[in-house]
Amino acid sequence: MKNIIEVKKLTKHYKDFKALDNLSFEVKEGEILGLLGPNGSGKSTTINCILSLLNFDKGSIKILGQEMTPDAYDIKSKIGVVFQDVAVFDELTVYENINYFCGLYVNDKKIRQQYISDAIDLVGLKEFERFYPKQLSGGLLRRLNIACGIAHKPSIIILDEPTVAVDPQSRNNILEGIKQLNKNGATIVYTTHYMEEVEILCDRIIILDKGKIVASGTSKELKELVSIEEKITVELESFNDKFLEELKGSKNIGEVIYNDNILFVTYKKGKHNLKDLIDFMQVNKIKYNKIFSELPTLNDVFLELTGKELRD
Amino acid sequence: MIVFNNYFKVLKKYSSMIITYTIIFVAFAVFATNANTTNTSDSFSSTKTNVAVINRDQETVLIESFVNYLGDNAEIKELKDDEEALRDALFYREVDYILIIPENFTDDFMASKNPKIDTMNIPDSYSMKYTEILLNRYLNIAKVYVASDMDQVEIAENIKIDLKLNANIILSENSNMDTSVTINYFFNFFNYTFLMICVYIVGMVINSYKNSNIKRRNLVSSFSYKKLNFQLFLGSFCLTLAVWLIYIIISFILYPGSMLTNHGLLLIINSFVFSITVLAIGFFIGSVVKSREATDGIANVLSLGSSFLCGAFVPQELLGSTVLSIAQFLPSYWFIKNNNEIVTLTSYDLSSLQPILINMLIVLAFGIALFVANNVVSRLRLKDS
Ligand SMILES: Nc1ncnc2c1ncn2[C@@H]1O[C@H](COP(=O)(O)OP(=O)(O)OP(=O)(O)O)[C@@H](O)[C@H]1O
Ligand SMILES: [Mg+2]
Repeated sequence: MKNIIEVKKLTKHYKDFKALDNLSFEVKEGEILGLLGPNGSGKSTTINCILSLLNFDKGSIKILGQEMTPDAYDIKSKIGVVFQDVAVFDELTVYENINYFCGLYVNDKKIRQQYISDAIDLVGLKEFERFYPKQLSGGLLRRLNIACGIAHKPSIIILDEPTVAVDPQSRNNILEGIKQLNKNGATIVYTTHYMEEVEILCDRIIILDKGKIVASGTSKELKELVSIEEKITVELESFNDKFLEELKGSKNIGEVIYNDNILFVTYKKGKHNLKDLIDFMQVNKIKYNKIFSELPTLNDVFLELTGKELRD
Repeated sequence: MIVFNNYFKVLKKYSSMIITYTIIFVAFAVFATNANTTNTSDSFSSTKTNVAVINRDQETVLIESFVNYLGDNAEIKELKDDEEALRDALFYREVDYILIIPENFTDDFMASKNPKIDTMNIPDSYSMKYTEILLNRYLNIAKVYVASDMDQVEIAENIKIDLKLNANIILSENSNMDTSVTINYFFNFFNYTFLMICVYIVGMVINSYKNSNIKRRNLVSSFSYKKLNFQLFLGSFCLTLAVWLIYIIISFILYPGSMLTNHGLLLIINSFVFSITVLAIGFFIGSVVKSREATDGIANVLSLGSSFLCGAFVPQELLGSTVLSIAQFLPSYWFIKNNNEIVTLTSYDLSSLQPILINMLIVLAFGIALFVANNVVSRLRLKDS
């Protein structure tokens, strides 16, 4: 598969603060690449560098095989960007806003009209065409922000946290829309600090922390990086130290924590872990109310790689 | 032309503001016209302007002839040449206008050195302007004769004949005086509403394009930033021109008789020059100021502040010298000063027009400086990001 974007050894300082540290990755044709990282990890900085909105100290950025520069208008014409902050004219209606931003790329009025109505359909703003941004809810405003960025049907779409502070309904609408754009052939870079989103959406994920790539791969590959296989939580009526020690000695066990009638056990490897635990409790006549098992999440991956939680 | 077209769509939201301010403006203009005409016709019929001439020069033929000429058109009062006495006379309204002829005036004048006659007056627009017209008229004609090498006696005789011949012209000009004063007010007040409308709207629109998140959208698009800037400029220019035209049309509707005179035409040209500078101010503020709230504030402060400081509301003669020396750093001061000088013009040869043109150039220089500053700033900003 062709590389659409190639970032090599990108380093960027804000004064003395190193925001990006020797970042290298590529975006392949037709994929949805997720850039996952906590607040301040450098996601927006990366994107602004890719778009030539920021100068950087070292490294190179190629898009479609060509060096990216502020006046590479032929490359720019193929890119659509949705910025983290909503960027629309308060003075213009939903329709007029999309018309303007689309018009920066598309001259032909007829084609533009078609594109605008496609974009409006995609984000589901048909009934709000004549509304002004101030009259839209936060979620709808985000949808407008997206429509403005993608109306010209770019083949590369870069989205910077497009779902921050959005209600679940709008969030689903947005994620569906992005999948749709990808199906229609667009290559997508998607930035977020919500791990659930990258899991649903992205073919490949890059995890960023403090301006460095800490891991990359598919969600499955990333989860294989962690030593945890399974996490089991049990609500108990009583428990004692003898059982606790015994449990710690069982096979595949990682961590055992007991607190306020809640038992939390992680298993490193192996199968039938849940069954083993239930058997253990039956043998020892330990009564329990609830029991459930979870697979590791990207948060666990992040936690293990960096020693901290993905979300604050 | 997407940016240019979009400029006017964005503008639509501000049309109510244009209308509001224009209504305020017209209301003011109509009010001023009425107040002024009743007031002046009153003073014209009941009393002649009282003028005192303090002569510190010799009793020369030239001065004698000048005083005689004044006496035909105003009431001459005798006053002692003493600072306090002169002030008191003005304060108690014994005289409206005091002319102080300096030492060696006649000699200097005959040597074409352009000596100045000092004046003290009650800042009342009518008697003041009236006397100024008399004064300028006499001196302007005398200058022409000096230039053609006549001596004092010849000059005095010639002027006597000239001014008799022209008596009816002076008379008709006098009756034009009150409308001249009102169109003077009209164009001075123009400073307030026009600045407010244009700086606010141009500032707001340019601000949206260039200083918000929208700027980044523009920058990442395939639309060249140079082209965008040019179209924004074109849009702002058309807006300013359109608002200016509206005001000129209003002036023709309100003062149909006075606008097609030399005064009227010069005032129109002067306001046009000022408009260009206002455009530059709006463009500069829109580009430099980061937030819309600040743009709004600055437009208000600038239009109101400059109107107070530079004499749009109150005549410049009434303002203190400190205020005026600060005001000189604002283009409004020169615009308004020029309005005031234009309506007292009585001849239109190059030498009388020269100060008018210089004022216009000063106003224009402010505009050019701002355009240059704007370019420098936006280039620095672009590098920054
Ligand atoms: N203009 C700037 N000047 C100085 N430091 C900056 C600037 N912009 C960003 N930073 C710093 O660089 C780091 C990376 O910021 P960036 O905005 O790229 O993070 P992010 O991953 O997009 O975070 P978020 O999820 O909050 O959007 C942060 O620590 C931030 O404080
Ligand atoms: Mg960010």
